[in-house]
Amino acid sequence: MVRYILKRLVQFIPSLILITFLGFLLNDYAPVDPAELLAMRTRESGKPLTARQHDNILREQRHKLGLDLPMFYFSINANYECDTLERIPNRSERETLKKLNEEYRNWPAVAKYYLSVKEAISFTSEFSDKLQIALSWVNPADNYITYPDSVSTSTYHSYHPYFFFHYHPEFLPHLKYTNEKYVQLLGIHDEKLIKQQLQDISDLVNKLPSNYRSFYSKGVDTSFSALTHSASIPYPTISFHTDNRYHRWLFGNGDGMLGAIRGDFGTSYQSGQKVGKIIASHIGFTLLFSLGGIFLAYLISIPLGVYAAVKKNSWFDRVSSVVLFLLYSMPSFWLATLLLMCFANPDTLYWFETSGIKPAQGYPVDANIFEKFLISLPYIVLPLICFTYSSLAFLSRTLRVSVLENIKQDYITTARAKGLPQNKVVWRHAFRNSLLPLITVLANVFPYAIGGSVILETVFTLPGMGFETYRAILGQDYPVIMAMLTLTAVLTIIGLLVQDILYAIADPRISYNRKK
Amino acid sequence: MATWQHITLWRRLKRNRFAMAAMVFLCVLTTLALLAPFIANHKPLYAVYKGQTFYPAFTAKIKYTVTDPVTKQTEDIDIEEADWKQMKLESALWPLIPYSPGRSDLMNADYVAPGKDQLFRTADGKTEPMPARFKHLLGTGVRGDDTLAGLIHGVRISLSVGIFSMLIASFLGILLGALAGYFGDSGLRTSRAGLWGMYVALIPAWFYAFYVRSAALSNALNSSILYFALQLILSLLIFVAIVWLIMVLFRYSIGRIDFFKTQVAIPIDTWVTRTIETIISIPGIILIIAIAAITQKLLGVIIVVIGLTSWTGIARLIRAEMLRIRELDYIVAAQAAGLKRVAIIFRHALPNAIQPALVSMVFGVASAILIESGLSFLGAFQVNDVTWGSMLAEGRNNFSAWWLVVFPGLAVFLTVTSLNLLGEALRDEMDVKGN
Repeated sequence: MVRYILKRLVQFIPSLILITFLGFLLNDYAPVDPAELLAMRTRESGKPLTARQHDNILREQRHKLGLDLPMFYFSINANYECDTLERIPNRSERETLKKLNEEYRNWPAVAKYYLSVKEAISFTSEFSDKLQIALSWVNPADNYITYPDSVSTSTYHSYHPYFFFHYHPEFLPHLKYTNEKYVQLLGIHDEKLIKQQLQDISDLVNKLPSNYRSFYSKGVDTSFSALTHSASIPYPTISFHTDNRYHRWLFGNGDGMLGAIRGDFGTSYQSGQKVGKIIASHIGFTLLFSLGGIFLAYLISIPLGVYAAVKKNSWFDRVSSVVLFLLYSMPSFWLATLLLMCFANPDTLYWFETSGIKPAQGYPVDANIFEKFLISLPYIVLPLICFTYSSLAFLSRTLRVSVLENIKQDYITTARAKGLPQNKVVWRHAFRNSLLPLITVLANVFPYAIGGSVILETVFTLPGMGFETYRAILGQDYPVIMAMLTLTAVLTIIGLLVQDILYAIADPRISYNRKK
Repeated sequence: MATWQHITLWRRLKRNRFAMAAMVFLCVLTTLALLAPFIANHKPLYAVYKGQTFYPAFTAKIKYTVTDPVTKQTEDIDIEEADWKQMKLESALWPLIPYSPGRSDLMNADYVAPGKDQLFRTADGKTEPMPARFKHLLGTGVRGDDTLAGLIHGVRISLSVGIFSMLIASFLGILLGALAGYFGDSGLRTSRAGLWGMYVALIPAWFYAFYVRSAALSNALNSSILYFALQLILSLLIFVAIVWLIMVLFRYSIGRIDFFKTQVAIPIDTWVTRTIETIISIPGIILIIAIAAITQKLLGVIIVVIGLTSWTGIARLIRAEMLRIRELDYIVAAQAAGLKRVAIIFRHALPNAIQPALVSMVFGVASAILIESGLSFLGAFQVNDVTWGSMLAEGRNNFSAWWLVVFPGLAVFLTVTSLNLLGEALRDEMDVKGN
């Protein structure tokens, strides 16, 4: 048995790696780059940033999150691809470059083009900044430069070339517009659009007097035309990375985070809390409802299913069968909404509360646990009904079928023939042998606790794991999502193992020590 | 292929009144889904306006220019956006429900209950009580959008998610289950060179079939699901071709060395069972919500994800049946007669193994519909169209609009119930042991 369990655990490792890898993939394709999201949240409001500052913040943030590292221990790339694309901080630029490269299959040329555009951007923006300052020193009335006292002579001299353009204020918007056009170029990967954009820029520049065109270089144009004649034949290349994101996630980054293998899933992007803390503070409610629901379901379904099977075709059996069947097909979110509409609605009956687990102002200070329970009761009842009914229906139905099958067996006839009372025949013989399907349900409780409770917890706004996961997904809180994925996978394998063990206990014929 | 078995199954099924009722209901739903644009539409089926005849509900062209026969004034008509109910139509044939889902009717906005008085603006601009023909039979939503029209168009989304995702799941489940069950871990043998060749081939095959073509695939996904399917099949063909090519190469090169000549088994059963185990430990709903959050609102993606995560049950059933069937005399006879293995599996063994999976497929459609409506109820993915789940969510935000809670929920409930009824009946008639 122990050997069997160990074997299963070892077999499960590749699956676990695959599932966590899937989480990383989701992270990579998130609609908004997590680094940008975090940079947005942490940035001081009001201060406009230059493109370069923004890039630096992003770079720092990506470095902090480890996003500038490759994803896994090895990567399979195409020969024409760049394997260090992660180092480019801006996501849309990264994607443009990736697409350009997919189109033209020539990374050096793409990189050259990218650098030339970047250079043009920084040149034009610096130029326009300095020009703006220089222009502010010019008195428009007499074109006379009156630079402030705070400006030293050396600063003045560094600005000197820009006075070459005085006094042409209309030049500034042109320059800014050109800069914008270059920035836009970083988000375009379609050949036609790029050509259009380059044409626009050169048209813009051509409108200026000839001696003002010094800032405009042909660099972007030539590097782009170099791109278009250079496709190579693709073949796969494998590169290995010892330091990668997966490794850090699993074993820690040596800087505060211990790694998933030691139970540390990092810090939530949304709240800045440790993921472990978030789980610890929410899992209680989920377990309360899942376990409470399943406990109630067993409590009701065992007598119900057995009685219906024993009294087969009685009116009780028929009515309960129909009701259970209807319950079984009932969508849980509909039942939840109906219950809320009928029993937690000021217009109809306001018996229960609509959301949460306790009053908004919290419990009274001196309340003991029983009083707390009484206060929370109106919050608990409706969710508990919803968490119970579906497994209740499933359990009773399977139990009925299973008992019915067993009651037909010879050993029941024997038991009856030897004069055992009906009670003993049913409970000791028929019921015990019908236990297997019930075990299956129990094994599914734990993994189902997170995924299955998403909808119900969201409908009732219960602060459980399901709702938390849903919020994490909407807020792109990947450390939390990764933790949930891993946790569910581990719970599933534990559930499967528990199921195997319980099978062996319930049915001695099942043994895992058999040799081939 | 109507064999004797299938005919008797059908006859027995016909005696089950509940199953037949469910079947009729499902047929009605399918018809509704197929004909939805002609049953509930804000455009008339046929209209005569200023002497010119239109078939707006059937028209793909959008712009028309009409000349008034008396005043000779021309007027541009946008078939889609024109408010046909307020035009002076000389004659018109309206669909059964003269509304489209999600189109606002501002005269009856802000939740009008089914029995309540509704208002109608005539062609002259006068406000009148709603004529019986144009009544919103099941009330309206916040913008005056017709509930019944939403329900009818919602059938389309629910059924297509259910059916298409289950088609994907059945294809995968039947194929993998059959291969795993028939061959087991030792049934499929090849030379060591071939096996190694296959392992080596996986990387280039994946590379050329999917990686290099990723741009083409993602563009196809954005244009239409059918085109995407075509591209996907092309990719799969490339994949198979490369694997086969490299296996052949290996066999004829290093395959001449004795060590590589020895026959080894391909552990196909282990692969499939491990994959199944991996997939059942992924929390499906979380995965779908996460992917929906990434891909924004592509229904096709949801269908594919549901399909890719729900084939395991079918595969397990087929595998178990195949394990039983491959030992039967007629299969052994077929093997002895020297039939090709593909023929044995797909012509002789599979038809007898497929029945229990049929039940699982019917239940699978039901659960896919439940997942789709549950997720659209949560707002986890927004399709542009109105779905049962999204209508229910609107009702959940405003309980005074009870019709938005009751009717869409009832639609989901009835669909799922009838699918479950059908599945149960099939299971009972085929005498398959449950679960």
